[in-house]
Amino acid sequence: MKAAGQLRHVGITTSEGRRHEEFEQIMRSQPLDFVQLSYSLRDHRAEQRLLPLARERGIAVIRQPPLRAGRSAAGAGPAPPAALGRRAAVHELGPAGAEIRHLAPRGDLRHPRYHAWSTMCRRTSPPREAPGRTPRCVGAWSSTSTACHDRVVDLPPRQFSDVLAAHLRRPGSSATTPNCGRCSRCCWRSAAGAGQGLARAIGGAGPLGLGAAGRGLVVGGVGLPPPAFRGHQLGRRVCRLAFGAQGLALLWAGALRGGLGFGAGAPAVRIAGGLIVILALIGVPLLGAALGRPWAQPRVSAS
Amino acid sequence: MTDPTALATLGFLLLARRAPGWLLVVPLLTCAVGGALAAALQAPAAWLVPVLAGVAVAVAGWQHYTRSRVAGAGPA
Repeated sequence: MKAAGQLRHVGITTSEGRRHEEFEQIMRSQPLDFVQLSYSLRDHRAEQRLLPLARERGIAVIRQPPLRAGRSAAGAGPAPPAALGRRAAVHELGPAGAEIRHLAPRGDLRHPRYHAWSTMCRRTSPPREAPGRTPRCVGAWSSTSTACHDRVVDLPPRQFSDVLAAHLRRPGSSATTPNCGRCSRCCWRSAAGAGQGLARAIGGAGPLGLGAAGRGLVVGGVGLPPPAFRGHQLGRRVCRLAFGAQGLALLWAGALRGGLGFGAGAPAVRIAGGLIVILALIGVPLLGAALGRPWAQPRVSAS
Repeated sequence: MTDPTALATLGFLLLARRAPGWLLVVPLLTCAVGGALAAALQAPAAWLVPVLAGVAVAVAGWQHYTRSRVAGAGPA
């Protein structure tokens, strides 16, 4: 797909330190452009093997989330280990590093500038641009969004990172994060995105738990060329709206019309319905356990 | 992936007393897209959810058919 121009960058991802051994095998055996892993003040397991390996093989690194949205230094977890994580984080901050250096000891990483440097970070280091300086941060997704301001894809001019960079360069600028209008967090703040936010909320708390809306069409979106990325974004929005509409429809049919009560249908229908529910809620997860990996997760081969 | 949840939705709708048929549309599409995605990723048992969704549709169709037939017959 990469040779055909359908993908620009190929990478793998993990989080919370899961499957690092397999991750390492793949990094050793496959020609990856980037990896994404958890690396923060709190979680620095990647320093042991993965980051050195990334440096050795020239694989760009995307950290998620760089400072754990402020939880790391705010006391939710163990103290940063001998300032190693902090130093490593600050090292890559570039222009915003000095500021973060002041913020970090106070545990004030919830400061809006947190988003600032994570964005600055991704601005400063595109993959493969400076092979001698890897591993480096090519991007850092915020804790809630996988959609916005991804440096790897070609965003139009004056997207989030540009707006933010200009904002930070302005003398005496306030510490307010501009609204990129693309990610779920920012959409909550914009009138245009309120519908999406509502759909997401309804979908996540729907009567039958139709949560995790918008994950169905494309896995990820990193590295997709702009047309495909736009399609991916559109697919996510369609899914969110569909799940929101489904939640509302179920509420309407169930609560208002009273048509969803368990009633006396034909025995065969009831048996089929019950079996499907049991298979969905119990059988599929057990299938994953039996296979040794989540049912929807493809087999990953490092060979 | 949301496929198991969508599948459970289909099951609950079969158990429901008078669920409108159009409520099946979104879960069915979810199962279809999710199954296609799982197949593209060569996931294990990628066929499972689409097949079960198909079963749910068949059962719902059969239920609709028998109800309409009974309603058409009317009281004696």
